[in-house]
Amino acid sequence: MLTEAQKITQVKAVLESEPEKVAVETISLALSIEDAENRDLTLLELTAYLAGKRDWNKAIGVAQMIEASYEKTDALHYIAAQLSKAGDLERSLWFFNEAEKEARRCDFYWQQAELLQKLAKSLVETGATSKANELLEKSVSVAQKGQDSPNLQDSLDAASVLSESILILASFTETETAVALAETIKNTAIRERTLRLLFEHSSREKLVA
Amino acid sequence: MSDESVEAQQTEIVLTLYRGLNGTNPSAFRVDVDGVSVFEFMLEGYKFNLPIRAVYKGEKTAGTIAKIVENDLEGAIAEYTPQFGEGHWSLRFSDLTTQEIKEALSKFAKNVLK
Repeated sequence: MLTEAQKITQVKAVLESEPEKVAVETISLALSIEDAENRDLTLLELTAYLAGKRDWNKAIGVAQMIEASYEKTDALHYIAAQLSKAGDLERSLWFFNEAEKEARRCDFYWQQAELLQKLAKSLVETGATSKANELLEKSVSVAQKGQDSPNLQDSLDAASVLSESILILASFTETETAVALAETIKNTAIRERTLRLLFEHSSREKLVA
Repeated sequence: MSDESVEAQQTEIVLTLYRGLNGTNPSAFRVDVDGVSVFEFMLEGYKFNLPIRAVYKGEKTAGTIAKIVENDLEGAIAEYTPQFGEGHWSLRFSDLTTQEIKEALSKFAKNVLK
């Protein structure tokens, strides 16, 4: 009988040996990990590996077994990104949409906003700038809501994601729009830093022009 | 400088910082340019409060640096950053990527809380 740690180590060892195909037994072993968080992390690693090998059916099947929304979003994101690299843009966008839906199920607004931002960055790499812009705007909107959390930690984490998403959005939008969004950051220290970075970005753009 | 203030500068103050968590995976930690938000007090509304022990010397003012004294978090420091909120410290790691910081904290959290 394997311990939890041995099961995790064994799955990692299989992946490190870089097999062309991952055996069903390895997936079963990962699924037998009792701790839900450890199981999710192992299933996430398996999904990433399977997607990298373009074993789409297994990758999708394993991703669906992940319980936690953050890790499930990451798994769907891996599949979407690999499908895009493989040139299957239609299915890639479908998985980006699924990842977006899953991201919205996370416990905290800052986690939702962080995931939407990650998906947006990845979409930029695939050339889907319009969809990337849409997700960045959603990330901003979710993070704005998160700032209203009565819990200081959540509120600050939301402001932190908000700042990052605005700075990324600044590359796609008018500086005035980005500045207006930055003004909505409620924490003074984070708002002032974001505004300073936006002005630096704007000055650089003008110099290049 | 008086003897008392010299003594105050040399006295080690031990404190426990907390990060509120609902889980222990890397996704539970938000890392940005300032580091990871931790607090001098326990936070309500979370499944766990992860305790992180630290020491600093002298008077605590904005910018005071505390050394983290947890074996699993070697090399980490915390800076007192009350500009972000009451009792706020920024936990930082040198030479680690965002993902590596999340993984180090997750490993520490699993050891402490599970």
